[in-house]
Parts: sequence; C-alpha cells; structure tokens
Amino acid sequence: MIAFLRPDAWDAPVFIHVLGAMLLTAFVATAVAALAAARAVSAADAILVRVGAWSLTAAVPSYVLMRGGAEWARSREPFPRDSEWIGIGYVVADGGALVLLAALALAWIAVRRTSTAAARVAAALAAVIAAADVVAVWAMTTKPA
Amino acid sequence: MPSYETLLFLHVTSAFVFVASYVGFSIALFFARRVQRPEAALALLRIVRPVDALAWIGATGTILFGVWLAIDVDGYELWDPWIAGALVLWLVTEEAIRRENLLFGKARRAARAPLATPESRAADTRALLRSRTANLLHGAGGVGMLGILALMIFKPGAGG
Repeated sequence: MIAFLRPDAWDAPVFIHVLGAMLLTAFVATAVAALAAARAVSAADAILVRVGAWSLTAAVPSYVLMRGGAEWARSREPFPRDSEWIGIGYVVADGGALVLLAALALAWIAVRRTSTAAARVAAALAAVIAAADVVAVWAMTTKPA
Repeated sequence: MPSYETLLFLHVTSAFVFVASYVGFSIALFFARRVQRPEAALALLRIVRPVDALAWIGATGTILFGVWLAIDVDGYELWDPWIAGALVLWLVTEEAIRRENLLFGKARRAARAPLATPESRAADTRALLRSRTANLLHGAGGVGMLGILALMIFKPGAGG
C-alpha cells in the first residue's frame, strides 16, 4: 500500500525514477527486437543492427534518470537501506549497468565489423536486462519483506 | 482473488510493456523516415509487428488491472479525477497507436509496391511516415502516455 499512502513530497523523485525505468526497459526491449530480427548482417538488415546499437545507447541516459531518481527518492523516503526490495533494486540496477555496457559495446562492434555473432550476444545480454527489469518491477510493487 | 500487490505488479508491468511499444514505434518511425532503399524500410517495418503485439498486451493489461485496482482498493473510485483523466488519456493514446499502426501497414505496402521503382517505393514510404498525420498520431500517443504516468504518480485530487 506504499504507493497509496505515499506523501506528496515523494512524487517528483518517484516520477523521475519510474519514467527513467520505463524508458530504460523500452530501449532495451527495442534493442532485443531489432538485434534478434537481423537475420544476418546483410545490406538490408544492417539497419536493424544499427537500430539495436542506438537503442542501447539511448538506454544509458534513461539508466541515469532511473538511478538518479531512485537515489533522490531514497533521500526522502524513510525506508531502511537493508529492505529486501531495495536490495533487489540495487542488484538489478548495478548489475544491469555492467550488462548494459557489455551489450552496448558488442552492438557497436556488430555495427562496425558487420558481425552477426556480436549482434546475437548483444541481443541475449539485452534480453537478460529486460528480464531483470521485470524482477525489479515485481520487487518495487510488491515490496517483499 | 489476487492481492493488491499482485494487481499492482500486473498493472505496472503492463504499463512498462505499453511504453516499450511506444518507444519501439518511435525508433522504427525515426529510422524509417530516413531510409533510402525499400529493403531497409521493410527490414525496419518487420519489428513493428511484434511491437504492435506488445502495444495490444500493454494497453489491455494496463486498463484491465487498473480498473480492477480502482474497484478493489478502498479509497479509489473510477470517477476520481486522476483515474477518470487517465481513462480518457488511455483512450486517446490507444486510438492514436492503433491508427499509427495502420499507417505502418500502408508504409509496408508502399515499400512492397510491385510496379514501382525502388527509388519511388522508398520515397513513398518516407512520405507516408513523414506526413502530418504520422506526426500528430505519434505526438498524441506520447503526450497521452506521459500524462497517464503523471496522473498515476501525482494523483491530483486524491484524498490519500
């Protein structure tokens, strides 16, 4: 019932946090769709690999918005730092950042070297981030423990 | 009967899916407006089909679980200004995205037109996706989604 009972002063940071998280997940999901749809890095499908790489690039500022909003919200909300759901959020966000950077590097390698293998691995890594984001949404909405 | 937390999780996850579909449309639109060859346009428009499925799933889940929450939770009513406003914006957004998807279908047919030259097929596709209608529909969808999110977070007029 946290969302229901949330004081007005928390709204702006929560808005920034949720907007950033939605955009991050959206860009990552688009990257998965584009990179997975590129059957081979042929002349026609090369544009899909480029779309995937640019989508992952756009995910970086979205991540900053999500993470900055989270810290701003944490500074206003009196939840203990060792809450399980906050811990899940940190693990997904910080671990996800590393995976995002790896996927981003691979996607641009796929663009520059026309490598189908790099595009496939980047798509798989981006899919892992999207799945982890669903876990984070579950933790943020159900607030276990 | 699902708990409040389960309904909220399903509602918010659906909203994430709905926003993901809009971003997918935005990226397809952005790149498809710049293609020089019809094959590249068709490759791009290939991702629009799964994105449209996401839009349908996200829109349905958002409204279904949202209305369920509004009925189920004490203190929320469907006629609360922030909920009623979100319902109106959801209708606007959903209709804009549905019409935008029809436009993507037209662009796909233009890129495949059997009797036209590759240059004119690419030009027709670009013209459709750069049209005032495409801009208006896409803009309405984006403003609607941002408005829904703001209403859901700030809850203007809510007593709690």
